[in-house]
Amino acid sequence: MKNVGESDQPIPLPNVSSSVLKKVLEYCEHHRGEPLPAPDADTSQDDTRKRTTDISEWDQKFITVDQEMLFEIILAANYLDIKSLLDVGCKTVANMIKGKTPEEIRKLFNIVNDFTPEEEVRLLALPHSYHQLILSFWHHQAQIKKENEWAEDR
Amino acid sequence: MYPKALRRRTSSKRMSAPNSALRRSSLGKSALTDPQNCFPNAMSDADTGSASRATEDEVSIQFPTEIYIEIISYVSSKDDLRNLALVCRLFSSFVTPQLFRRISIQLDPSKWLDSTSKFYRALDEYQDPLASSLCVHVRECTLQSTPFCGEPSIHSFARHINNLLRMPNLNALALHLVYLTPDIFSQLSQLSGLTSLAFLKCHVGDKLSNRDIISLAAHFRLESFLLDILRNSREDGPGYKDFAPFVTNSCSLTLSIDSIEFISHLATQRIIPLLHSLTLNSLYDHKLFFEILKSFPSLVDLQLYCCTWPEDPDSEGVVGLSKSKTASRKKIDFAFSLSHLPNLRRLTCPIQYAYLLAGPHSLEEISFHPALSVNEIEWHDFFDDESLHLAEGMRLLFDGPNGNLRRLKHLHRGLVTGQPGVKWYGRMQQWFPQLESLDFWVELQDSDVQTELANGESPTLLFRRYEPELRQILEQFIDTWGPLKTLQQVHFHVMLWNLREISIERGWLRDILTAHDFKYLFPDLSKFIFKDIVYSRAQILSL
Repeated sequence: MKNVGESDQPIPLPNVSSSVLKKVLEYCEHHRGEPLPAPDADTSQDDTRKRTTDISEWDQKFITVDQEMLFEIILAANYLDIKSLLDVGCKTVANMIKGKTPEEIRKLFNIVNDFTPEEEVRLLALPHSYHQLILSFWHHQAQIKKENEWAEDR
Repeated sequence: MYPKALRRRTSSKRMSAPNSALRRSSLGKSALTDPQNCFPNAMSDADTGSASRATEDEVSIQFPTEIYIEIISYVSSKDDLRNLALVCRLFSSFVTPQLFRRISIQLDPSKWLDSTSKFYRALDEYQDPLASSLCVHVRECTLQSTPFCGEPSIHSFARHINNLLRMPNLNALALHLVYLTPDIFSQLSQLSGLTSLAFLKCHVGDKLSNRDIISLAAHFRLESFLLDILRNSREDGPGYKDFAPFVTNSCSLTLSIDSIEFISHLATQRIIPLLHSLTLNSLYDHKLFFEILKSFPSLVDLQLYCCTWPEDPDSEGVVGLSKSKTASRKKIDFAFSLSHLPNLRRLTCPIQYAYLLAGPHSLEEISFHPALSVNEIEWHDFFDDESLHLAEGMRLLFDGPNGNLRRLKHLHRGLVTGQPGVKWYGRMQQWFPQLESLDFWVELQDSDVQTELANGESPTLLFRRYEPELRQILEQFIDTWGPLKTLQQVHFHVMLWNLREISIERGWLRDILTAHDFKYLFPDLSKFIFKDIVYSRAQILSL
């Protein structure tokens, strides 16, 4: 709050409910004095980065809340620019995604499947039909035969 | 920070502020704006910054796009990424580039169905339009053969190269176990956009000549070149150094090689290439190698693997450490000064090379590894704890203050203690004025207790058994390395020799840290990890 200086005036936070703000303050209080996390390197250049989803024991306990509260905390952390809390929240949701099917992930985030049926079929299986797989198999059997003949000729 | 503006939607609780922790400008921009996205229609959703909601009566919270991207960035398993790509168009647009970034193509047709991706098969066999649209995401490719497979059919190789030419962003190619022939080199010359090229365990084919290599190298301006385990059964024909044109045609380069002769050859060139990073995967002639290194003052990163210990021609044995128990070995009689490499910032080498390398240096990071190639007789001299304490002879660390050093990684457990030298005894801050991060690897060896017993013990009982040893390590560390006011992170990796689980007691750790004034000795520490117990700054301060 150093940007606004000393003031007795209340600061409105219309998008953060009191219960969520209480949790956020609890987090800030616990981590008071810790150095700010280093800013991420430019991630657009390297989208293969592996990021750890480890969460410290205290943070783990802190973030064990119901899903609605978890999502509210993430939104509040983003809104209030508390990077370390945002990280903890996002890591927790990433851990929740592990092992889930697309449909379960849709339920988690409450989002609809907006692929057309044709797109979905093609995404699920490339090549997209059993018939094509069989064709592909025989094609390669023929290819192997050809390669073997080539090897024998040599 | 005062939230200046926020947007509220009636249908969802969604917040966005100018000061928000994540900004669209810095995250996932390419995924959102890539005009060649595999699902062009996804752009409309991506631009609005939200995934479509299912129903109004379910959980009503919805994230802005940048938070979805942040969450997905923590997912690394391919299976999870595949499932995310199938959720909706917006998610697909984030995940697809990651899923198709790296592909592998098996040249051996008998392996084709098992190991080649569906994507590549669809592209190769059916000219599938969706597969074609995914080509834009491919950046790295490995063309892989199998041992004893012989020369690949040039017809099928040419077909693969044609497929690769449809991948406009392909910039890295690795050939693994491939027979190198003039025809193959001629085909490769079409991929002139490559910036990274690797030959791994490749065979020099019967007809390959130096002219073929020079001709192919002329097509590239590489930023990275790797040549590892080159197999050449011919008495004549190209050897390692004949591949040098791939490097001499470049300006600034990352080189990974397992031949000192190759580097030696580079050093004799009229214009010596400006190497930025060098990984050497076989080091046996130390004096020669360190002498050659003087020709590459541009080096920033040096990594040494598969290293031996120098031999002493007079004693017909190896030049050992000063505390060696074997009489035939004596103190090392030379050390290479890193002052010849004024730009070097990162070094990876066996821990014992702390004796061979000397300061002054400008290193910011030193990463040690235990992979010194020694025979069984020499093993105890190099790896027993007596030899591996901090010692004045470790000139890499104790020639003078390590003014730039921020990170010391993968330290052997023996380095928790020792005598760095009388000059600043007990004052590690003088040796490491900027040190921020330390990590130790503690492997607990089998003690007198029978192995069979160990196999049956619970993680808690195992902790009890090894408790005195762990206590000694921790107490020695605090005693030797403290006070160190710049240190921000300390990590002890603890593992049992047989990889069995051991459970550290939290109360035990707390008692030791408290009893030894841990928080006062390391006042800036923000994270302390001992095996799986993590102490945050607040927890350290509460000790």
